[in-house]
Amino acid sequence: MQSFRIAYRNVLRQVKRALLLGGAIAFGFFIFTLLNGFTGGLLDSVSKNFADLSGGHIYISGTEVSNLGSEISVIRDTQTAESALAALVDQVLSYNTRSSARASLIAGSKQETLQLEGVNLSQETDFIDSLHFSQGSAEEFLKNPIGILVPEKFLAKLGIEVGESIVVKTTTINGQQNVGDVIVVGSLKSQDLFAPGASAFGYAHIEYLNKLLDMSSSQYQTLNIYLKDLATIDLATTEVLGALAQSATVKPREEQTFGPPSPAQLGFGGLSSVAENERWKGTKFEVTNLNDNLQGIDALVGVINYTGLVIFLIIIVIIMVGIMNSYRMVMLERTAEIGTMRAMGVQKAGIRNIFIWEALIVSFSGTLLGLGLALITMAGISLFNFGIDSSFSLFLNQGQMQFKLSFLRIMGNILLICVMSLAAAYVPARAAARLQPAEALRAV
Amino acid sequence: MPIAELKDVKKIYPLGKTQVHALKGVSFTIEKGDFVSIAGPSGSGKSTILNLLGCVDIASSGQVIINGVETSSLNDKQITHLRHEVLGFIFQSFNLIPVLNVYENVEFPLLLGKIKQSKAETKDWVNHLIDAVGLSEWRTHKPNELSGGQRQRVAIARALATKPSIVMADEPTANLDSVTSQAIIDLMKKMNRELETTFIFSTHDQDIVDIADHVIRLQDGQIIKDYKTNGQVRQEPKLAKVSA
Repeated sequence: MQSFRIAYRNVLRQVKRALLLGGAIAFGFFIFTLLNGFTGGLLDSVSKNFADLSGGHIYISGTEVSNLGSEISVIRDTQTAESALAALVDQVLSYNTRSSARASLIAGSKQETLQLEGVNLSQETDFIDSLHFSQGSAEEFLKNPIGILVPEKFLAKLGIEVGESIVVKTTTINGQQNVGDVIVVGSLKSQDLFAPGASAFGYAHIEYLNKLLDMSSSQYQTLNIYLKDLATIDLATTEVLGALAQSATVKPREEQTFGPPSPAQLGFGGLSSVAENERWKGTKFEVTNLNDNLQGIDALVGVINYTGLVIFLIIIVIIMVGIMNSYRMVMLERTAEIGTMRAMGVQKAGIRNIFIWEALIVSFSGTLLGLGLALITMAGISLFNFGIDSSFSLFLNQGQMQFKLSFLRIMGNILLICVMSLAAAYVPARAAARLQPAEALRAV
Repeated sequence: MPIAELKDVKKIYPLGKTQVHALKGVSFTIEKGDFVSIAGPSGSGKSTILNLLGCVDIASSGQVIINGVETSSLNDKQITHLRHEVLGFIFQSFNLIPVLNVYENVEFPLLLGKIKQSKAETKDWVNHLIDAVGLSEWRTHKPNELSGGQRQRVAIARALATKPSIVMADEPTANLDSVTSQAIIDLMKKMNRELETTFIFSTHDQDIVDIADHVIRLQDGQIIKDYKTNGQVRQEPKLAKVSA
């Protein structure tokens, strides 16, 4: 502990130098921690927003081959689909059923297209909470079986008000055009994905949408499952697929095109026909999950993390060079002091440890400072509300930027900085330890 | 048994393409409890002898025997241990550790080896040494807050902290005025008598030389006189032949 005491005092003796070195380390750690927190929060926010939009974490969809040989998206064998839930035992938080359609809203001579989700709000209580009404309310929607919720921008484009009746046009699962009357019971603050002009979502009751799609009220297109623990999502997906495979035809994971049911499956842009030799009987189930949908986001997060890591490594290399040069200077400045300590009986290892401890104190303090600054900055930014109608609302949690840090990752980064600093200080430390006492004493 | 002994010790320093013969075959013995002065002009080899006796340097040839141990047979770790256990050092430029205060500087050598005494005993001993060198009021001051004489007193206390058999002092008064120099030498002499510690100091100041019990006079790397201050010449100098 003598080495540590001397090292600690030495750091205090040269405060300016310690501040410069520690400041550089703090800056590097600040940037890297901020990026880590941002990407961690981004993934969480996007996961939650995607789960809200898609209605769950795991999606069971089904397709049939029609009499005419077309692939249509519907789950009529709901008993088999729901029996798969048993495979997850205690892992299920909640589940819901949905149907979807690409629909045109028509008001007089004006027409706008959106994705209309048929939802059962009695099953999706959390989803109700995630909706941001600019007019109307969830209660009014629940009371009106032909009520729909649309983004507020659509009301302006169609030139209508909440409470007005409009026509909705869509395509049934068999490819027929169909229309119905709906009443706009609420407008939602826009939840643009990535950029203005991307997909917008409207919501209708599943029973009503099913009628438009030519499905019975008990049928649906997807059975969505919310899990208690997202960490088990891939395992749970495999378990669901395995359970379905015992009593029905399933599409193996490796053959799946990830994401929610395709437009063709949902009847958008016409039905696709199935080759004679590839047709199946009954419902063919497909199971996808949130991770499949987030592959693009994962890649983006990976790129940001990778870029952050490269910046971090560059900063570390600069810091290492700084530490190495600083301690070479320190060794020259303290040659006589080293000689004195060696003369008094300090072993070589003791001299080396003083330098090592100094580097460790500076680097550890620097990382703590950087971490503290990053936490304060994150707290500050997360207080700011960007609004849920901002163009990057998908990346936000209720309009606020969310940061998430992994304790293990922070510890790993601190350890990395400290180890690199020790490596940088080791060479001058060893040189200092190897000084011959007599030569060192002559440096007075 | 002598506490320190040099037998035909030579020391050659390389200086570019030439060699400097700092010691040209020096032999002498020092008895326990002696107050020894190594005197001579600059460049006569005083510091080289102290470095060899202090085991901070290695002789080019010959034997250096400290406390009965032939030092050339020891590795670096053993020599460092010997320095810590047997030797104390006082330097011309004081060489106190600047980040430690008076108490901590004196305590420092005690914390390097295996703990032989309790914390309370250590504290008492350090305080005793500080009191003995007259720095009771300066215990918590850093070296840069002390005068040259005070710093050298700290150095004396520090050199005695481990109760060494021998204390080496390389021109301990060179940076001090004459009054302070006399006080420092008196203090060393007092410690020499009270603790029976052997003191070996180098100086070129004739006034201080004569205070010693045993004087070794050097010139050009050779002993020209080795005598007790009662006038008894202990060893006739042997001048070695040295090739250029």
